[in-house]
Amino acid sequence: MLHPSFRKDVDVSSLHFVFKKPHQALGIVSAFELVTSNMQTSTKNRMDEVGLLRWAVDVVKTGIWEWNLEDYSATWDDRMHQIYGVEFGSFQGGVESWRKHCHPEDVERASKDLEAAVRGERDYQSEFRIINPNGTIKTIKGQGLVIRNAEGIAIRMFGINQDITEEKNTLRSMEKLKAYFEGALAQNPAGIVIADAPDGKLSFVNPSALKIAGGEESQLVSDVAIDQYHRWNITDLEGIPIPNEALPLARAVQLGESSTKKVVFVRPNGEKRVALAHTGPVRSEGGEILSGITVFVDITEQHRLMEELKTAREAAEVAMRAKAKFLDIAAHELRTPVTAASLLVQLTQRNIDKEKQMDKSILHRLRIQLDRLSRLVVDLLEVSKLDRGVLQLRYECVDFKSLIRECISTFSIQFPERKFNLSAPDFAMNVRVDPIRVSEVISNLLDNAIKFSPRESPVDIELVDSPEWIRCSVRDCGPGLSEEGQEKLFTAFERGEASVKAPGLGLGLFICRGIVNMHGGSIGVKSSAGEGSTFYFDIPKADVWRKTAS
Amino acid sequence: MKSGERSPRILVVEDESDILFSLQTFLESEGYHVIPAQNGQEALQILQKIPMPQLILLDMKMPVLSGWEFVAEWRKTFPKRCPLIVMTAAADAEERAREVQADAWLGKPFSLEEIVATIQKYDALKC
Repeated sequence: MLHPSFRKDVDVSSLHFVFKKPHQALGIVSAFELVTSNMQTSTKNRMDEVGLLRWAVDVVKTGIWEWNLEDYSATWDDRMHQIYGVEFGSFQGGVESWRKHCHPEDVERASKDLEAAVRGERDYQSEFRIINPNGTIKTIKGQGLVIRNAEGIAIRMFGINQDITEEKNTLRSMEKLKAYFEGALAQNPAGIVIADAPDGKLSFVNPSALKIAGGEESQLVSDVAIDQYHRWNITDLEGIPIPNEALPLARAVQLGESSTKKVVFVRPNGEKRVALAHTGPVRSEGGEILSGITVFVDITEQHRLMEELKTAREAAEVAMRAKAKFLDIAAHELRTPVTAASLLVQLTQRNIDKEKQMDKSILHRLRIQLDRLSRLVVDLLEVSKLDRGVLQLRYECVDFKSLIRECISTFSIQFPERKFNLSAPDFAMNVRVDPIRVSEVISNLLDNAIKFSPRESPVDIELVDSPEWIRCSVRDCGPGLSEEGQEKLFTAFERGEASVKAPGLGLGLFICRGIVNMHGGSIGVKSSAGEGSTFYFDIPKADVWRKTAS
Repeated sequence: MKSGERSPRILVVEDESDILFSLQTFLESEGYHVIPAQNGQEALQILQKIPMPQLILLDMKMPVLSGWEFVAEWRKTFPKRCPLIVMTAAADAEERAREVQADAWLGKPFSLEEIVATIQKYDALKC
């Protein structure tokens, strides 16, 4: 009587009811039937059972073998022959013959599995590749049972070979696919974060996401990273923090919401990164939300450029409006002396036609109007030169005090009713400047002071000496300027509030600033509405100037 | 000028003294009585004291009280009206005239002939 090695108390004929694993049972029972078909123990019922089982092993592409350990011969069923790609009945010999079909890389391991089972060290279970005569490589799963005699010596072995090539390939492709996806996610320059439904717990955070948010790359998908994500400080573009439950990813998981939004990651060091986040739910075929995925790219630079562009565009629009306004003013300012001159000439013409006496005062008036016209044209040309950066300075070493005195004396002659007070140190103040241009600046400041202050009020001029600079200030008792008005003053084509009704192009201070800047100095105003204004400019001293210029 | 009648009176409001001088000289030589004013405020003060003239020639951009401010005040204060002609150096003279509902406009620079042609459209100003 034969006994399976592990259940000596069980009748062999009832084995298939005892074994837990169905395929194992199939194999053993069928194998048992195969090798005992001449034992005449089968009833009709039993034959039916065997037929069913044979059909079943066919379906799972399983071949059956038997190995007689007493004479080392082996027997294969037709399916075994099929799997190994050989003609039915052609398999001869024992384990040695089987080894020839095995893949050279797997043969030793597969043989060892078999030997270990025979020695009783473990159940026979092995996975190996075989090569069919036509070169096809198949993956085989082998299982078997060792039958021992009463003394425990292995006398027979039954087993099955299952062709699992297809399953193996499918598995391999899936593994590959998984690796591809993981690689693509991990190496993606976009930040990717995946959260699972229903609680929104994070299941994946890629390195780019951590990089953008300012986390550490080494903390990838670990709990630390997930925990960190929850601590990421995310705000909207206005800097208002977005609570966790309102984050696009949370809304994708909870509500199935898709969105494209700009968000700001505030890094632990305070640095802000603007990101464009595309977020949406991942659903099962049935529509159930499985998880949410957010893909975000760092657009800080683009965002900054766009903001700069917006600012620049706005500035350009403001400049364009100012220029248009200026053209209006320029047209008006140029037309006025032209109108006056034209009318004066027409009057003269009439007088000549009517042989009336020539009014000499008309000529004087005409001259004044033409001078005015020429000054406007000079101003326009000067602005154009400053604008194009082609204004030339002719430097000379001069005493700043003398320069100021000359300007003041010219104004005193022109405006004898006005009082000009100069306060300056006793010593000479030598500077290297273009005296004509600097006189122009001083004259401009004096002219403004006269124009915008009451006739009876004095104009105070002060020279202050510092180790590196000489400061010249002109103080008037005019209406003063609001802060907003002060900012506009030195801009081309802008006019101070008080000058709206006064003639001129509004270019004076713009030209002054250009000239002072070219000297390496700066110009400014101290004023408040209703309290007069002090315009000042600083010019570097000669020796300093050489240093800054070089 | 119609005999026995007083010359038509024209109020000329202009801050630019040479233009004001030219207009006054010319219009007076044409037989008009010119009342000069250097800005809107001066013009309003004058109008308080004299009967309404037959015409007002008005510059727009002036210190103290501009043409716009003058017209607003004039329409508010004085029930009697007369034709109003604006003189402007603005790019769009017609628009300026519309802004103050003027009867006509003269774009600077203009000729003496244009002045005559414009003011003689009004019967009261035919000399």
